[in-house]
Amino acid sequence: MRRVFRLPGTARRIDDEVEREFAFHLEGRIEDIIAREGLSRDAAEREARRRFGDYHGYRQAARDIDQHMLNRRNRMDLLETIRRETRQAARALLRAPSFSVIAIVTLALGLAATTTVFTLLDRVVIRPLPYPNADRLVHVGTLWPKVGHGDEFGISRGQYFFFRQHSTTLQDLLFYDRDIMIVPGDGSHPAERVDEMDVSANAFAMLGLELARGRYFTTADERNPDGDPRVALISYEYWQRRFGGDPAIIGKRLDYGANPMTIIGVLAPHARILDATADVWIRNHLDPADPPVNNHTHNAIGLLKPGVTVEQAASDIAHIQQLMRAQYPAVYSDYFYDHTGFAMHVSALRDFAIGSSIARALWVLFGGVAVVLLIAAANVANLYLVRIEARRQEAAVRTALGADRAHLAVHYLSESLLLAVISAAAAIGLGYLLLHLVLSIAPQSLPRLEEVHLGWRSVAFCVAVSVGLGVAFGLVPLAARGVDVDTLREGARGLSTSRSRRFIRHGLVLAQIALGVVLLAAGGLMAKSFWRLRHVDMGFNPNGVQTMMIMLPHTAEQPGGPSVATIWQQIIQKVQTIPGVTHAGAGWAIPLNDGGCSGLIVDQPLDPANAGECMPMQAVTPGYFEALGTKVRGALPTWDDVDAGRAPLVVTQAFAKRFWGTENAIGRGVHPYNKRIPAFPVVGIASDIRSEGLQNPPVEEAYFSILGPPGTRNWPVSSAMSLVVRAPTLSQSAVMTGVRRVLADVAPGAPIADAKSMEHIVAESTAGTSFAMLLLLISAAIALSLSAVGIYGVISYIVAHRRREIGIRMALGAQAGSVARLVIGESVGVAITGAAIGVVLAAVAMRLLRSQLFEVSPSDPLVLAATGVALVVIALLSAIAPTRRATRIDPVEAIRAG
Amino acid sequence: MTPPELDLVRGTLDLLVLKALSWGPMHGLAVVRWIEQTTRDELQVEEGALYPALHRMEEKGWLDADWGYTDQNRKAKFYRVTAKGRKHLAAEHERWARYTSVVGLVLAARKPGTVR
Repeated sequence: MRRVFRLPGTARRIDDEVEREFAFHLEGRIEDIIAREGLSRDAAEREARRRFGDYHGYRQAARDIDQHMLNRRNRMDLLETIRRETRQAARALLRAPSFSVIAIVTLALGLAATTTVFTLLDRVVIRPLPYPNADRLVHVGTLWPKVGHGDEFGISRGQYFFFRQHSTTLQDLLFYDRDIMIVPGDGSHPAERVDEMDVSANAFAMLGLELARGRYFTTADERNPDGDPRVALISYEYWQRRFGGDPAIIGKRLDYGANPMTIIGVLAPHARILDATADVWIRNHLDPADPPVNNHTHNAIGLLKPGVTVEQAASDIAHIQQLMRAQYPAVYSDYFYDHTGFAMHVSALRDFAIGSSIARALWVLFGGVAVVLLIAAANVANLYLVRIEARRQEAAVRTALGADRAHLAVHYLSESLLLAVISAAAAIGLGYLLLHLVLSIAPQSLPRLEEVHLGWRSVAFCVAVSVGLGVAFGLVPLAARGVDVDTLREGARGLSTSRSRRFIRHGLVLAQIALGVVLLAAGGLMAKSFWRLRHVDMGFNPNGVQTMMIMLPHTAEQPGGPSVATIWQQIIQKVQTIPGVTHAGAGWAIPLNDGGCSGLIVDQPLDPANAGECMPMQAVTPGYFEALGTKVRGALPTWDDVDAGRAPLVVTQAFAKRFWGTENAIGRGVHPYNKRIPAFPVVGIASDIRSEGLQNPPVEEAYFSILGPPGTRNWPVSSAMSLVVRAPTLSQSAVMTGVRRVLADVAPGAPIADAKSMEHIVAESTAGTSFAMLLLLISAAIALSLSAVGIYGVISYIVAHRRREIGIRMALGAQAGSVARLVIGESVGVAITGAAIGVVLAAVAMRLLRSQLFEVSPSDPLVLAATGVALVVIALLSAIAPTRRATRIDPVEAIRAG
Repeated sequence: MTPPELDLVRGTLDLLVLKALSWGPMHGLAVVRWIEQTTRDELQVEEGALYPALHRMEEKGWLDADWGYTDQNRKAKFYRVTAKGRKHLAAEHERWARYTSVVGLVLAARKPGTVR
């Protein structure tokens, strides 16, 4: 037996071989049969085939086995190749440690920044919400353009039932609202204010909220009378916190005002609806027998039927609302429609939850770090070009020894891929740290923050990007032509750096500088915005002001005892006597925290069309403005005014201008809600307060007295108010202790919640801007240092390369100054061109930032110019060291060495 | 009519093939002929079934296959038992012997209760 060849290599070969093997067998058997039984050839062939059996079946079976074997061998070969190439690549990288370290650090920095922001973007914006059928969930709300421009409001209970009954596009609809409640103290726990969620019974199934124990609500529970929920679910966290995880929790009582509830279940940990968590979940009062009323206060989330688009649902809901309007003209009068512009609004739940501005901001940040990555990549590409220059000899030797282009490609690719994989691993570690840093400074208003962590998608992203870059870098040497035997003849001198390669190198540095300008400009614009925002006249002075929410328990007001208004008065007057407290007051809301709005009626309005608009309004006690540090012209309300039934009213300048066209509005009157409540007289004009965000125009707000004029009804004193305490010399805890002592005396059992310093509230309100600014500035800082490294590298290389030329110039009498000018000149040329391109690019790109900016134009000339100059200066600084090296070249040595 | 034939017990084909090849490299046809002679045609098997068995044993590493030339100078695929295959054959041989002896014991046993 002589050997012919071994392995069948391809599927086609396998087929051939099996066919030949079978043919050999059949032929041999035919001969056997003819010899043994003397049959004719035809008969013998038939007999041989019969004995062989299912020819096609056996052929297929043999083929399958061979194919499987072949695949396995190929895999083993591939693994072996990878192992060998990796070893070689590792050796090559170790031989050039400075190249490897700089390249890996540069790439890892760029990749880490990109991966971090990608994680944020992916978790917050890209991923579906963590609910079953998340892509089919929609938010159903209403728009009231003539009341609250740009705001979205809820729907009514009547609509809930009507939509469920008539909608052809919604499979289900859930209804929820957030509230707060007081759970009184019970000896071991103080009274506390907890968040409460009122939901329809179907919410749990629709959102996949699971139970730790007990049962859900039923639609029967929904019918319980309004205000008497009777049963409650509690959150897992509340169960642990308040009840110590008591295993016998089901059936326990939870006190809630006059109506105690029975706990029927505990939700699984982290139960939430969008970003809203709650400790106590009660059923929303939903009874189809209730007549519809015009009261649109509830959030609604719909589940689309499969295949239905958001647009279809929107037109369906709009249509059904028209039916409802026709059926209940008393609820939806033409007057109502005319004055509110009332319209249904259906949007994908994710868009509703995230909001377009946050999505946009994160995309902008992602663009920013992508630029950092580009700069890093340009740097590494440059390093590669230099390295090829150095390895032309090696490549030429390999070529001469018979390595073809494919071999060289595998060689270079494995080296750059190894580099990429190491960088990716470093970047993932670095990104993990960076993400923690970013999360620690992220504003609380960023949605879905609790979902953000570095998962496999981020890792896959990082690895994919780095491998892509690795392949690109690996192909650089192949693209650089002229790697052939000619290089050998050129010898070690290598004087002829090709013009095109120099062009590429300069181009890469140019691009780096241009991109650096773009990033720095973005950071600069954000910084200027932030500065403007923090220096805007807020209309109050947050320094040394503490705020907290106080809720009087329902037992506070006893028959025959002091009224709620009196209790508030006692609390505030006693707080004022705490040593260190200069002023104290209370109101329904504090600036920069959500306040309410309502229709108001002013006397002698400038334009009657303004009537009926929902205006920000609240009730405040005397001391409120003094505590906030808001200047009030005219008279500040006093407790004497309140006691005497003078019902003092303060409005902001903006309010006065809007309704009466004058700031001199003292003496005018305003009815809260409607004319059934007597008008409150304006006694003071508050300076403009930026209550709805520092970036928004001053609020047009009316601050009513907590007690109305004599004869007022339907103006109840709120049992929950925000206390504002000015105490410049006291710490927050000192203020809290003092207030607690007062409450124990005046209103035992009243919990304190949401204690925050006013400064903290201001910082929180600008957190979005400062977050974007910080991230962009960090990106810009990384980009600048990378650019500096890149420029330094290229100038150093040029100096090293032109050593001989410089040596000759110096030998011919050139002064150090002129040599320095030569080198600096080259870098300045590149830097200025790059900066100029960058400024133009930035002027265009910064339009994307417009919505994030406050009182700063996206093409702010000062920022753009400063950025361009900064980059040129950085370029010059990075060129200093190589320039000094150039001027110290010893002509004799340089010429001899060359 | 051919006399009733013994069916090949499942899995024993491997054993037979290994045994056949233990005499030296053979092509599939030769293996079939050997089995035919040794069993005096008592053991009937669809000849085609031999090939998936051969290829599977090659995949398991019990056999090596190479193309070569027969005495008549025809190109054929020859199979050779590897060291691993030899070990398997020895183990299977042992197992088979034990199995047949146990079955033999059972079949030779007397009626229960008659054992003294």
